[in-house]
Amino acid sequence: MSNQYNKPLPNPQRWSQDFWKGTQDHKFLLKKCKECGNIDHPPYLYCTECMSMEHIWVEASGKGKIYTYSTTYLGAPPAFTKDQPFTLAMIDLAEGPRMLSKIVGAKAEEITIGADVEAVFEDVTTDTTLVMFRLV
Amino acid sequence: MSKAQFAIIGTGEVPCGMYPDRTPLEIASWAAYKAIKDAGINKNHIDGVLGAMSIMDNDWNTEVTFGRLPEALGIKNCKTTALVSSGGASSNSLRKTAQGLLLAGHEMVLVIHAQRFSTFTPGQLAEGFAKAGADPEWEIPYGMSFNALSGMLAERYMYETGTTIEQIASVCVAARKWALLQDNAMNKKALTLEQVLGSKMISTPLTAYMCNVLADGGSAFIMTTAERAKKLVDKPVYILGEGSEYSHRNLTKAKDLTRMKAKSAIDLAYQQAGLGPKDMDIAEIYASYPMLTLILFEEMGFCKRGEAGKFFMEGHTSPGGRMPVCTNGEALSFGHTGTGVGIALFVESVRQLQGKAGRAQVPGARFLVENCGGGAFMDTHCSVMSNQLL
Repeated sequence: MSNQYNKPLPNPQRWSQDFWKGTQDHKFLLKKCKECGNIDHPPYLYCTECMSMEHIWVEASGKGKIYTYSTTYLGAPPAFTKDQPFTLAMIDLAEGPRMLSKIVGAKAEEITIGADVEAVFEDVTTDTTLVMFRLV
Repeated sequence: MSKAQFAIIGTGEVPCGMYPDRTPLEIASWAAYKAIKDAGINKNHIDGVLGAMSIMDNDWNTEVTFGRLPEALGIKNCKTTALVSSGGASSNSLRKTAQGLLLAGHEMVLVIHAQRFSTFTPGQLAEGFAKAGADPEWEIPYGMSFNALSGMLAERYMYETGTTIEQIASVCVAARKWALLQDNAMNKKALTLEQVLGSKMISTPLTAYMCNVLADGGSAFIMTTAERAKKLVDKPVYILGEGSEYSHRNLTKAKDLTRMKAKSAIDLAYQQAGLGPKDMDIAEIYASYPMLTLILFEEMGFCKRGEAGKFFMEGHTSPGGRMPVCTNGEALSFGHTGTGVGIALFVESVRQLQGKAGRAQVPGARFLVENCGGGAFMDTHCSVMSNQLL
């Protein structure tokens, strides 16, 4: 945790505030429709399948597989220059949705498509926690 | 069988590259001047002027919104002027807006794109493009960039099809060969496969020469109805078929991440034209990144899935090849002018079909398939064009 975190932070929508409150408690929540069971990630105002406003937040298992990835060596946005090289990946969550995140604690050459990963919580500031993933 | 409603009668373009002293108004004025002279029309017959939204340059966007273009260009009978947005898909949204104006009774519409990037610092551009291409809540906090996004798409496409990085690099080599035949292209030096593969790694598997460089540039075209076009110029270029598809905002939300519904847009355009890939003499593919050129070439029906890389590597899409692709060198070698890459390819399409493509001319070109798309590979707009009515 650092007070000098100078990277862009998520600026939540009204309907995603519960997600970010959840990550602060190290809970990875997904917005599930009460009517049709669809999970929207990213969440939006209403269920993008059936338009229902009724939803519950379900805790994700944190398990997933790497769908694809890329390791950035040069040309990252300025705030991330010092972190290079770092690997971003699309993760297929066990619950269905695909999300973008960062792979931590692994060398670039260890990362492959199809690899099993699990969520880890990175408290980047006192108010913000990002969900990242590590190889299992 | 196709019954074309609309046609393009003239085009203009300025050199692409780093020209910090050339203002957007100067770019727009030259591109428009050349398009009007090329069409050989009286400028006062133009009654609609559309400007493409520029990236990051709010001052220029305000100028266009506030009606600078008709005044500066002396379009005395202008009835409508507007700024039209939609990122990389702007050649399509501009064209659709122009078509709407023509259907509403306008006579001729002048469409202009002008972009100056060279007055921004590399940091401002890196940040601007990260923000434009990525989701501010769910992607930007992780350090997402356009190059990383494209790297992920390339990695997955290679995984699914067995396409090699050498084959992807061959797209860049072919693009450069075409750019060397274009006076207005930014890159003027030949490029080898070894240079592409050996350049600095940016975002795996993409090296520096596989990522395009932002540049200043602009172009313009004049559109009217097919009926009127026949009376005005010797060789109008007709739009025979069109199709569009939207896929996603965040690439994670694409149903088929390495195809992005492109095929249904392409098939609709072929169907409307009553033509297919076998009839096409040229493919002008807006991809910006080389793996997407291969993906779209396959979706356009020129190769089976996974075989485009071999086809490019064998040189069939290069000058003198049997299926020319991206005859202006595209973003990779002509230069990436933001929202203008698609417009530049559209203008090149018209030039090819009018026989005005100079050293890059494909002899006897009659039918052509063209696409553009925007956002983070969010959509595909496809057109089939010809210098003859079927």
